[in-house]
Amino acid sequence: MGGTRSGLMPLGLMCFLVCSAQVVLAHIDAVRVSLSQLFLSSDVVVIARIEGISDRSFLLDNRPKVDTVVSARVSYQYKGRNLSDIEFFQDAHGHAHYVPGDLAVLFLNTLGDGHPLHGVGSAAGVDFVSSQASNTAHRINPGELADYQWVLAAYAESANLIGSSNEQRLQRVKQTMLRMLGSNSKEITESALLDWENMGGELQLDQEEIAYLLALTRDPASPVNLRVAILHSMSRKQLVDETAWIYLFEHEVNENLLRVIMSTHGIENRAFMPYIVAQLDNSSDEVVEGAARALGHPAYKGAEAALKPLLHEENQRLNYAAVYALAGINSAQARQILLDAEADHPNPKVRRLISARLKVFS
Amino acid sequence: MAITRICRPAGPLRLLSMLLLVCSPLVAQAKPPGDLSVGTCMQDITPVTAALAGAYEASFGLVRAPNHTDPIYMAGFGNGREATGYNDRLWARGVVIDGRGGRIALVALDLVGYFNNQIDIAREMVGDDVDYLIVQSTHTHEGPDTLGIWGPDELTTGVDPGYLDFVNDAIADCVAAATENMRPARVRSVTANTAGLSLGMRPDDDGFGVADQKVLEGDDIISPATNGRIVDPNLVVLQFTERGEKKDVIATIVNFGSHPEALWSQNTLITSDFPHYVRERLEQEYGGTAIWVSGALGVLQGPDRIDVTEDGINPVLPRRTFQFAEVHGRQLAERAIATLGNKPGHPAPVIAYARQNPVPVKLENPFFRFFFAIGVLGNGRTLYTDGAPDPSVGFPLPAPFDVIPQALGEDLQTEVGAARIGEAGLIVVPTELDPQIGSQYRAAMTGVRDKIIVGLGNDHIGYQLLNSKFDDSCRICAPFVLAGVPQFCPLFPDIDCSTVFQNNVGPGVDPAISGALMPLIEQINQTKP
Repeated sequence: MGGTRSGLMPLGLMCFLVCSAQVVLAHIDAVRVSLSQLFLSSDVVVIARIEGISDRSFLLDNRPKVDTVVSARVSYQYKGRNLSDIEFFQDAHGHAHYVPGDLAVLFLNTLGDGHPLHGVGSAAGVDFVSSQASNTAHRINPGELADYQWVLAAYAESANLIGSSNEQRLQRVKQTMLRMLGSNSKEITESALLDWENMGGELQLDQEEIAYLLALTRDPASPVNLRVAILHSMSRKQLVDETAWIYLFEHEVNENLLRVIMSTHGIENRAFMPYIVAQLDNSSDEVVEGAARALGHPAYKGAEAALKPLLHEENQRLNYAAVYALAGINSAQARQILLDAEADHPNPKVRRLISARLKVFS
Repeated sequence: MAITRICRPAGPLRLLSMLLLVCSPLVAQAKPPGDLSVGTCMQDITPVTAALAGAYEASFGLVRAPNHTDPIYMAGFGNGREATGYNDRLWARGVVIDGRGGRIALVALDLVGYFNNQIDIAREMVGDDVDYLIVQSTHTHEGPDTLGIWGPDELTTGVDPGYLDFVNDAIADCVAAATENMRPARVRSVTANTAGLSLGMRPDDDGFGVADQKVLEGDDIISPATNGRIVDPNLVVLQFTERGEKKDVIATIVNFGSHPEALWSQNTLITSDFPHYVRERLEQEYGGTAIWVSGALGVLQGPDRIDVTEDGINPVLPRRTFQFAEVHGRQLAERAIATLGNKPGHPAPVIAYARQNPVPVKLENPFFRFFFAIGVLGNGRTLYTDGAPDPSVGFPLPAPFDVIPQALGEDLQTEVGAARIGEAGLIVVPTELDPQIGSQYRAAMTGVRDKIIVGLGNDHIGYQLLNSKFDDSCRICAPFVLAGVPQFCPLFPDIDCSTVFQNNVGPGVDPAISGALMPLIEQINQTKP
């Protein structure tokens, strides 16, 4: 427990605090890109109201062409030359889907010489392109504007920050990220999670900050998948132990509990076993199925007897989950249970699946 | 006529072959001449949740027990796109082809992709009735996540493993049903050109009914007339008809390289996209079972940047609508129908096949290693080291990134194959294949007339492009890109982390796949129709 590692300041954060904002675009349009990465790789960053999306006709190499242009009215600007109205192309696989009236954070790049769309831009009279995709659309929902303004302002300020010590800058970055993790905006929280994963293990957190994050993972008002994702990040950085998961086993119910159980994939731990086995008696078949599949790992040797009755439940999905779990445990006892069921299970599909899984596992 | 069973490991031998890099060409085993028999099947694999069961019934008039947990995360674009209803059903559509040389089954899934660890299970469920089972994914971007990367957020899988069991059942049931209804058949095949199937109005549209959405470095030299845009204009049709008096159509297979993503990223209705309308029109024309097989999909071949119109003049249809998908699909079908004609098919074509399984491909993508490590990718699939499963996870990246988990196995294992059904050849690749490589495969397949590229066949491992065109900048600069400081990478500003290079196993994909496939193509070439 505890964030006491020492070493280099995270490279990204270092640069984010000290580098110039004049970063030329390396055309990054992959979907797992954080706000800070978008900010750094864009020429222009604005919050703008989408006004129209329409096809524009123009001549390209003396041939009539048409392409779609988005127009927007700038509300707030954080990077690049001052603009009030902008027009841009969208160029990404599954680019952001805007409708007129949307308020969105736009990360734009100039169609300068050498850009693949430079010729089209010149012909159509369009200066910018957005590579924002669904995951990076950052449409602003009601109640999220203040958080976006705060984050983008922090980025803009940090990018121009000169003269602070590394320690001061690190504190600033940490506070930004912690606030983002606690944001009401799902997109801002996800963005902070990406930054946290990407920066590795150099962000040192004190006990108070760890407690703050732990409290976030226990806040029922927050989507469970994000809470679990924060917990996973904390686990990877050894900021929490299995008791943090056990708290969720003990306090979450129904769909949330199912998500917690499913999220233990990859972090199998015998300390979880009694809690997961207990859910094999849950009244929800979905929870039972999720628990059974979560037990499909050699770490859960000893759960065979608890899984065996599922082979004979009326719900075939439960039968299949039990097959998956027993094959995954792969103990002698588990194999024997499967072999017995392969011989005499009344459902031929279950027998077929058992045969297939046993062959594949062998 | 002699031969041609190029590779038929069965039972224990089959298992051994899978474990030992086998399925090398075995024997040319003589078999008496036999007539062609063909059966066909359809299994509904539409994901139905408890919440959407009513919507399913309202859409199709059928009561269906839930087969998927709530919600259904839709694959292909961003995270968290939850399905809200249905436009048409998703299918496993298959054909079993038995003749001189063996028995091949092809099952096409209306799914974004299907990993080969699941296909291994399905194969075991099918058993030894089939010599070579090909499971292909159409790559629809409007169906459920079956790979893992489109869950509620970037770090949580979107796959329901119980649904994968359901799909495996459907594959096995489909093959069993097709085997049951096999009947004497003839086969015919043609290759159409898709020129004129789009209007060429947009800068990326050259009029072939598909647009190249990603021009790679050097493509402008290969294809200067289109500023580097390269598409595959071949639409190949393979049709089986009954050999008796009635000559009814049993199945019509259509193969073309274009992402089923006309509905694009905002749609939340489950659909197989434009292939639904292709199949609907073909079945209206011919009866039987129509099967869409996606071809060279890679480097972003798709319908989003084209325009179509009902009458060829106006009005241009709104893109990203079901109306667009319907007209585009029907026009593809009409092109197939117009080219196919009425010439009777061959009653006794040779059936030949060759496959290489496994094919190790070095995994050189730290992004993929991370997602394997945290369980977002995989669904039980493991990496391999020195040919043995290696599920280990560690922290090999340098500080300060040494807390980012990475799956440590060296290779992904996948498979390739080639087959022949009379005058038609099939090339089975596990990738989204660059059409430029596809044209090289076509050129190499000298022994057949009509050449079908089965994209995402028996696996999905991402894009495949020529090693010479692979831009390694994203991989080299990965730590800098991840850290948000690409400008610190020595290659800056020439870094291409577009989806083609970020969602890519690595530069070794094409050498591994082509290296394994070309000898198989040569074996197929040596068979006679």
